[in-house]
Amino acid sequence: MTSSDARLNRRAALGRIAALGAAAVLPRAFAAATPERLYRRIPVSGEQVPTIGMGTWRTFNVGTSESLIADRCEVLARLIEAGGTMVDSSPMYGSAEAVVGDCSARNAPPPDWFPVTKVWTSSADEGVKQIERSFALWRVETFALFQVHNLVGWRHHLPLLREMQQEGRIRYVGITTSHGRRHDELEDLMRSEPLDFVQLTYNLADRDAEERLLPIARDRGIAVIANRPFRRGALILRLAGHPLPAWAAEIGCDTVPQFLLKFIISHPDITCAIPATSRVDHMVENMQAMLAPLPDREMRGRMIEWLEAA
Amino acid sequence: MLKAAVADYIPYTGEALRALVGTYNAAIWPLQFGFLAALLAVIIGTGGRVGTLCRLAPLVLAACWAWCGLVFYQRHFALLDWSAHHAGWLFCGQAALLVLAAATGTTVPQNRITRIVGMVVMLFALGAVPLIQWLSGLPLETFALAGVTPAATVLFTAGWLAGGSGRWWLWPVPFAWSLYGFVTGWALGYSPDMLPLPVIVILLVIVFLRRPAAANS
Ligand SMILES: NC(=O)c1ccc[n+]([C@@H]2O[C@H](COP(=O)([O-])OP(=O)(O)OC[C@H]3O[C@@H](n4cnc5c(N)ncnc54)[C@H](OP(=O)(O)O)[C@@H]3O)[C@@H](O)[C@H]2O)c1
Repeated sequence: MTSSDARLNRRAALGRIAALGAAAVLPRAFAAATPERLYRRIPVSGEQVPTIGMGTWRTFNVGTSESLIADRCEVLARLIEAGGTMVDSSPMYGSAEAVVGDCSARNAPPPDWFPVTKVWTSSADEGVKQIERSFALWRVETFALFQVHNLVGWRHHLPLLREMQQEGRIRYVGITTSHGRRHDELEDLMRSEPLDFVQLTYNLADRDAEERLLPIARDRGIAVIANRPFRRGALILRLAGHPLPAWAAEIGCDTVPQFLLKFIISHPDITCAIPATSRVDHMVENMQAMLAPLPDREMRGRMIEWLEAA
Repeated sequence: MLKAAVADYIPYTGEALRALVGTYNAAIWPLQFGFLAALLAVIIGTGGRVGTLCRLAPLVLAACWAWCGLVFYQRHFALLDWSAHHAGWLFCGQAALLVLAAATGTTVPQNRITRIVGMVVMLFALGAVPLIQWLSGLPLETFALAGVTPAATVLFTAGWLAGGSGRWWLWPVPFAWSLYGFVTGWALGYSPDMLPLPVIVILLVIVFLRRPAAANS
């Protein structure tokens, strides 16, 4: 069952996944024919990005501990192996930017590497320093996407980010919010500012964005990143004792996290979801949600009903 | 659920915190022994009511608080949490207050009961806290020790204060930190940070009950 309304682009499964023994990690039903990976277009450019990326709040904030950094590098390696390219971080996340920078250097990022970070300060001067620090920590010359974190100081930062976009140091500019906060202000900004991306909370339980923000994103050609896909894990815990409905198998979902992710990325106006994890097995599990098929509109309705009954 | 909600606002995990303490301990090794020896001298001074040691005690504690503020928080912990800078300055503020306490008179403990209780707490901070960490299976190199890490330093200081410093204005910072430590420690499953609050509450009750009669009127 595939979604007819989703503006999905599919790329044939790349050799990389086969080389990594994908059959071993894919669900049994998928072993015979590797399902397609799902990509979405960034409206402003037409560039395609994988529908699952990775967040780094808490999970990659491990300081300088060599063993924990090595663990996280393994997590990042699995993201890349499974075709993921987008990693989202922020100066707010402690050492996460440094750890991602270290791991991406060790893992040799793919050609379509999509580094995403944020500026998070109300001061214009501090913003300039923070942005330069992020380039150094990530060890990149160009950021795919730079966002204003939680709308903080956007009046200072958006013009600067656009300038840097003109210079080619940043490819896309965006703004973020989460937990359903400040949606009115975000809505105003989406209408008045030329944004390439917004990041907001959208998941099976938090669907406020469907009403106004996602339609505006569609109308204005803004790509949307869904953060907190699992409500920071709370949704997975809440649903832990509830077996998935039999029809979840029709969309290739073996587990609750995959079910939750497929719901998010099957929304036609969502570009990608960025679950965070500190674990290799969870990364492997999550990346399988990036494989076709996706639920259609009718099944999405059933997914909501299932959550509400659980 | 509440635990997860609190943890949601903490940018690091208990695992990362333990690893950070491990890295920090390795970086400052073997200075831990210097601090432990100095704190032992404070206990001996309090127990034996040795005037010189008693007068030096607030300076020793000031050094511990300043070290925790500048080295533990500002240099190491700030890697994990930007708010560590604030905590660092708070610790430096308490260090300044302790210096002020040293500069403004004698601190020889008078009340026998509170002195004994205070000594027990200081000994607990010095010896039992590492023991608890050992019993809870934490690796030796990640032990949070008195003098160089906040929780055990707060605990030790509370013991010293209960023993009879007589200065109420030295209590608010340890008490505020113990509240913060309890909430974060509970949310992250990090036991060392949870210890100071219950102990400080008990100490404050004892100190209140044993306050000098003149203060009652
Ligand atoms: N304002 C903003 O800009 C903003 C706000 C919030 C979030 N974000 C971004 O969005 C990202 C995602 O949000 P989030 O980190 O808050 O929460 P999340 O992705 O909804 O949940 C992360 C939690 O889910 C657990 N998890 C992940 N995969 C799992 C699996 N397969 N099975 C079981 N548990 C699993 C992780 O634990 P394990 O480590 O054990 O796997 C982690 O504790 C953030 O990391 C951040 O990059 C941005």
